[in-house]
Order: sequence, then structure tokens, then C-alpha cells
Amino acid sequence: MNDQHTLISAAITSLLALGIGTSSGSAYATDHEKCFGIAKAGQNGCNSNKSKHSCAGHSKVDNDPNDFIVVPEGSCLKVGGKLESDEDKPATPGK
Amino acid sequence: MPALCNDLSSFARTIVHGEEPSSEIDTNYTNYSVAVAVGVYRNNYRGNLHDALAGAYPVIEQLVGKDFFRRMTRQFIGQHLSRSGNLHHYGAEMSGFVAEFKPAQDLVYLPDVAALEWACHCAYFADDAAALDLVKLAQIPPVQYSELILCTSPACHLVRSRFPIAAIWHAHQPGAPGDFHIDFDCGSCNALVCRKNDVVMVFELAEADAAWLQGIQAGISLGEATAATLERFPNFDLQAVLLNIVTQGVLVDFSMANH
Repeated sequence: MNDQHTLISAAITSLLALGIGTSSGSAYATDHEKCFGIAKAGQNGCNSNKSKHSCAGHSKVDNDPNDFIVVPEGSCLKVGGKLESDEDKPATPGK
Repeated sequence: MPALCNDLSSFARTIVHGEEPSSEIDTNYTNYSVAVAVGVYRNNYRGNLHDALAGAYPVIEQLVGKDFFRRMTRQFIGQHLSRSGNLHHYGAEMSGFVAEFKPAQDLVYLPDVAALEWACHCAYFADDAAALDLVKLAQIPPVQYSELILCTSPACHLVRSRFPIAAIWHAHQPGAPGDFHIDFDCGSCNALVCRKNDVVMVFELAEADAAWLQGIQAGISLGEATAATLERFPNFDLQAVLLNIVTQGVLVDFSMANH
């Protein structure tokens, strides 16, 4: 217990000694104020992201076909390709 | 007012659940039938929710491809109504949804990547918090350090996975080289999400550091959390992790256990 107390004291003391946090103002500098309600980069107003859609933009009746593409075809093919879905089998990288 | 409420409920069922449009809907269009007009409205409804999900889950969209993502979100949208007037609140259930989504079953890491992305999304919109007040901390007598209850920033989240989700996330950030290799043998990953100067960041924590931080986040005192961690990880370096997370703005305040 004494060892642990020493350890905690040393850790807090070094924190205070380095003076990070308030004294440097490093965590939340005021020269970078966030406007209230600002959207994520590329997302703004009722057009919620950078794609072409907007409140008035979906002028079609339906732009989504109903059928599924069964196979994902994004970068997951680079992240080890198909993996075993069995919980207990270790995931292996595909080449 | 009840009449308006009924009209809106009926209209919502038409849009969301595909019920027949109520006869109350204005049919005085010259260029559209009611069915076409409702179809356009429904497409806007789905399109905006899809865009909200694409904004919250850009890594998932890249992993499965845009077409697959669109079809996946369409099913999600059919199962999950937006419960808030703020679209940024939409999509919290994605991780669980992906885990049950049959066409994505082979991508076993996908639910955890979704959980990490939602944590990043929430971190971005979390309330601001002041930096840890070291002047106030310096006033605490050292004999009481063990009683400190450390408070983490509302933007701070710890996401643990048996897959290398932090590496996957980093490989899909804007500016990351398109050619990457993810090592699935590197074991579990403790992804720490935090926000500094309005930028959301993802770090990896060692197992011991993550166990300790989880205790801290659960509201356990510094002494108890450290003792429990040291029991499992004798080489746990409190000083290093403390400096690290304070630098990243993870710790924002403290109180005393006995108050």
C-alpha cells in the first residue's frame, strides 16, 4: 500500500511539475472557437453530408434499387478479405 | 389541432411504412399524381437519413463500398426511426444492426468498427470541457491523492475490440495512403477516442492502461483503480498513462472520494 501511495504521489507530482493542462492552455485553446451548431466537415444545414442529396435534392421517386448486392465490394477486400464468421476462429489476414 | 395531428400521423405512416396515402392529402397537382408526389417525399426522407448515416459512418461506407452501404442503410432506416429533430443523433444502433446483418457476416470486425465510428461521431458533438485545473490539483494534500475521483471529458470514449479497429480506422481517414496492410494477428485493440482543438483523434492504449482508464471512467478512486490494475498488470506505468491522457485532454476535472 505504501509502495502504491508513493507511486501515485510520484505520478501526480510529475503531472504538476510538467504543468500541462491549464497552465499551458493546451487542451482547448480559445483561438479555435467552435460555432454553435456547426456541422462536421462537409456536412451542412439540411444537406447532412457531402453527397449530392439535400432537402430538395431527391427529386426521384426512388433512387434505391430493392435488390441487395450480396457481396461488399469496398476496401474490406484489402482488410483481410473474407474472414471466418465463427466467433472462436482467429481472424487471419487475407493476401 | 387533433385534426392536424391525425393528418400528420397518417402522412408519416404513408412515408415511413408505405401505407396508402390518406384521402386528406391535397391532390391539386398538375404535374404529379399523389402516388408520385408521395414517392418523391419518401425518397427525400430516406435519402436524408442515408446521408446522416454516411456522415457518421464514413469508414464503414468505404469498407463495404457505396452500393452495399446504401442497401444496408436502407434496411437500417426501415428498422430504426429517427427519434430526434437533430439528424446527428441518428444511427446509434448501427453496431448492433451490422452484427445481425447477414450479407456482412463475413466482415467480423465491422460491428466494432461501427462502434468506434459512433464514438468518434459522439466525440465530435460532445460538450466542450475545460482543461484539468492543475492549480486546483496542486492544493490537494499528497496523502489524499488515492482518494481522487478523476473525471473524463464527455468527448472521451474507450472502445475495446478483439480486432485491430484503430488501425482500420486510421487506414480510412482522409489523406491516409490507399495502400495499407492490417495485421489481424496483432491481438485486441483498446481504442481511445478523444477530441482536441475540435479534432477527433483515435489512440491505442495498452491493455493495462485501458483497464485502468475503464476503472476511472466507472468512477472508482485513483487509489482503487491503480491497485486493481497493478494486481493484473504489475508493470503498469501510472505516471506515463496519466501524462499521456492529460496531454490529450482526456481528464478534465476531479473530486474527492470522501466528499
